[in-house]
Amino acid sequence: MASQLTDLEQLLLLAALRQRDDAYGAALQKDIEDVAERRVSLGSIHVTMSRLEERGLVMSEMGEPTGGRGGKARRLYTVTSRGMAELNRAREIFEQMWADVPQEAG
Amino acid sequence: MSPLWRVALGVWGGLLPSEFREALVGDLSEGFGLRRKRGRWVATLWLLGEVLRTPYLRLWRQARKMSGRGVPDRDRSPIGWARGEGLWRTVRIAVRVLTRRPGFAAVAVATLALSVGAATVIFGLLEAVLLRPLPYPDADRLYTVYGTNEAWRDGEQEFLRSAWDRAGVSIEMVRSWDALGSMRVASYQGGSLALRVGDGPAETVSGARIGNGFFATLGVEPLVGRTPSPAEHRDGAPVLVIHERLWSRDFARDPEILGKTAVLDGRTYTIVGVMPRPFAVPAEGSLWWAPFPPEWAEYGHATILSGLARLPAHTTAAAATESMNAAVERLASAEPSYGVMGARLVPLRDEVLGSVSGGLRLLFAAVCVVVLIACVNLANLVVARGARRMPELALRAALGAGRRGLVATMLTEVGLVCLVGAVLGVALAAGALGPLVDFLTRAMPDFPRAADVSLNVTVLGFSLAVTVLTAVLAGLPPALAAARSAPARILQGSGRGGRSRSVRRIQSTLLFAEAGLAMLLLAGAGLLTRSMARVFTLDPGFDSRGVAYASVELPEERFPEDVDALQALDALEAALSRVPGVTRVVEASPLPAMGGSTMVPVRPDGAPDDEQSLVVLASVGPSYFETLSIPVLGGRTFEASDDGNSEPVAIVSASLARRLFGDDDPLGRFIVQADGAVMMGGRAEAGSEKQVEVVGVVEDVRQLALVREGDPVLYRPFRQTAPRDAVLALATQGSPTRLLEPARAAAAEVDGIVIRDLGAFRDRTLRLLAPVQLRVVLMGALSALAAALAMVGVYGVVSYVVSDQRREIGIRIALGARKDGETIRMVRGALTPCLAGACVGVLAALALSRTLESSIFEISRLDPVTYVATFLLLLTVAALASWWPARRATRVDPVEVLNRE
Repeated sequence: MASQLTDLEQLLLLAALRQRDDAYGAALQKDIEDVAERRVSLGSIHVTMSRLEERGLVMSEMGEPTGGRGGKARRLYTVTSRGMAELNRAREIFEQMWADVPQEAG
Repeated sequence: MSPLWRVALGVWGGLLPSEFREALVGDLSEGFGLRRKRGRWVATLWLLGEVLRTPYLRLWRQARKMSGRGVPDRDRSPIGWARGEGLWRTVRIAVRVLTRRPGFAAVAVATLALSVGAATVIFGLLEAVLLRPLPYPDADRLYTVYGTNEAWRDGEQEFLRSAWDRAGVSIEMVRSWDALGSMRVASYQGGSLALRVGDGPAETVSGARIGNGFFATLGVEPLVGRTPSPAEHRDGAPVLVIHERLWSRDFARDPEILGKTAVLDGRTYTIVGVMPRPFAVPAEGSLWWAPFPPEWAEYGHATILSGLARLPAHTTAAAATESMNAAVERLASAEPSYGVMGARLVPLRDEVLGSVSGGLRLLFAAVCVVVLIACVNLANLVVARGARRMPELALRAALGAGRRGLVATMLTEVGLVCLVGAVLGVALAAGALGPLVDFLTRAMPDFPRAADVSLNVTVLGFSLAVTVLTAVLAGLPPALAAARSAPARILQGSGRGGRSRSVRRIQSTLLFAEAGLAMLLLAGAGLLTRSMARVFTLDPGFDSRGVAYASVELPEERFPEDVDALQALDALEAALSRVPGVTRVVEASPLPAMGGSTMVPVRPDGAPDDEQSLVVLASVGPSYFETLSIPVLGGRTFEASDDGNSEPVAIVSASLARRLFGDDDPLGRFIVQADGAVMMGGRAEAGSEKQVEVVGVVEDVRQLALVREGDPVLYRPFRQTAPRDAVLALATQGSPTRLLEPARAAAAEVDGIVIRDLGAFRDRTLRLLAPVQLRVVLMGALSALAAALAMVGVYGVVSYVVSDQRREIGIRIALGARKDGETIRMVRGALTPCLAGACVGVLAALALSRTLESSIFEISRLDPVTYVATFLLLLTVAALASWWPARRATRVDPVEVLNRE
């Protein structure tokens, strides 16, 4: 069965893993922008993350309000084990696909 | 992040579901802060991109799913495009709704455009001219110093009484103040002198004679070169500092300017420095500064100068005045008349901007009233519109729409209208500002800082603030009222009575306010206009029609002897009389109401010294009174034989005759007149005295200014006084302006005489009133705008009432009511609140008219004619504006109306 993850979802999950305990909207946006050179609006990030949460792939909680963001709190995301499993699955699928690609095409 | 951004972010947060609000707003401010380091524009663009790309619809759907509530998302988000409709789509919908009734949109947009445009233009002027600090370091510590003269204060002569605290200061006074050590004080005397550069023609240019420390007091360094040294000041050296504008105009910004020469007042000066462009002391348009000439050294006590002071930080003007007064008291031991003198400090800012600041403030107040009227108008439209849409709003309320949603729906439209109106208004202002500045500087060449006027960020910020304020003031209360009552309407079906009564009550209040505000402006503009009309048509005692004037100078350098000067003048007069169309040339110094008058002390022969009066001296040629049609009351006029070789004679004005001789016959009596009078320590002191015989009496004229009555005038034969400033009056056939060019050409042929100015005499007498005239024109324009807006407001209300009451009217007419009666009822309904408003407006105008006092001449500020006329004008306008749509009431077909029920 193919992965249920879109590429944006994959990117977000990976970014969340890369940020460890500090995975929140602005940080995810910056990571994706820096590494994947892809511009995603903050609104899209939160909607997408919220959907992943529904599916049990991430969990979220509100952090403490901090300065530098107008006294607003962050929503911190953590990738669940189910999320990890989905990611791994997606990766496997990709690797599988790549493995069968004839050498000269690479 | 600035508070403005914070507010904007708060507003944006309002568009988001609460589930996401906190995190998203926080992320956005954090992201903004990160990008802020890369530049404000990078961050701003990013922020705008985020706001526009936010998937509002998905956020709301997601939030709904998360909370598990089934409430429809419509109307839970305040503004349409937050519901996910997309900004563009919401705008399209609003545009469609607005264009469905293009009348509303057009009228509202036009109202906004005109008022925002007018406010932008006037604020643009105010900002550049009044709000920006003067271009000198610590400019708030700079003051102009006037002398005060207690003896004048209680004197019997009106022009001295009115000038008692605007007397001059003397070199000695300034020296004593500077010696106090606590402040810098310098002196100057502003004026216009003939300036010639290279082989070009001499031209009268304003500038100032300055004392030591003038530039240092102001704290301005020259752009090029230096300012005069103390030694040059002491010796009265012929060195000249010029203004950058003169440097550009006459020397093409020659970098080798220093050491070049210019001829000022017939004397050659070496240019030592150039002052930068914003420098404008003593006045806008001052182009040269030179040390006091050496001969002034003997006038140490002459109170003929203006003072300039820079106070130390934390010293109040009152404290400084006190120490300055004490210093003058000490001077009084040398010159007792200083005993009545003192100092008065006026902020330099007030002095420089004084001629226009009152007018600009007045205009700003007026434009605020216009904006208020626009608010009222817009509110009226929103009320009417809200009432029309009541069934729709009620339906939406019934379907569960919250009050906030209803308010937001209405506000979106008002906001859109305001936005379009404001953009148009700013465009109007941008187009109008250039021509307006041109107009101002043409009408009043020394209009301060006119060149600085621009639509800058501050001005645009003001326009934006006006727009937002208008939108909130006009949109919010009616929207709230409509939203509050909408749910209640559900039960009332399509019934109309109750609703329209409350709407009409609101509308009546708005009409009342509108009429009152418009009345206020109309009355003010009416007073100014009527006053100006009176000035234009008043009889000044002389006839300036068909008379041209040529103001000439006979420089002492070129004509050391009076005889030579008078010969040159003869040649000029002969040349001018040959110009076709010129019927007579007569010499004078000066002509009436042109400014530049000399005052001399006189007393009846035999009277004690202290009975002398200061009077206006006019040196005039033989046919002067005939040329200006001044009636001769007794005796004779001057003759060609009244020259330097004959007995000194004089003609007195009627008021002077009364002052000197009471009811006695003045003819044949002698007057003691001082020549070359100088104000010494505040007292006019005679250089030498001579007895002159009174040979004639003439009617009073307005000698000092068109708007001043009854100043006593002593006329002396021109050839006996031989002044070096002469004005030739040219009696002409036909329009004097057509003769100006040939006259100028003819005058150019006479060697050595400097032609300062040439023009139509009547225009020249009105020039002194230019600031007031500007005020009249601009106030007139604003009040016309106010009246037009009020008219639109009345029209809108009556249109609404008529269409709202079609059914009622139809029934009435079906039951036998007369159609005319219905029209009258409509008009009366609109006129009653207007009448009440206008009455209150008149009362307010009466109370506020005091602020106009300095701009009103020849009529009282309580002039009943003006108030009655403008009152009737406003009511007529209101009646017309209500009658036009009310006529439609008569076209109501009862059958059609009742069939529709």
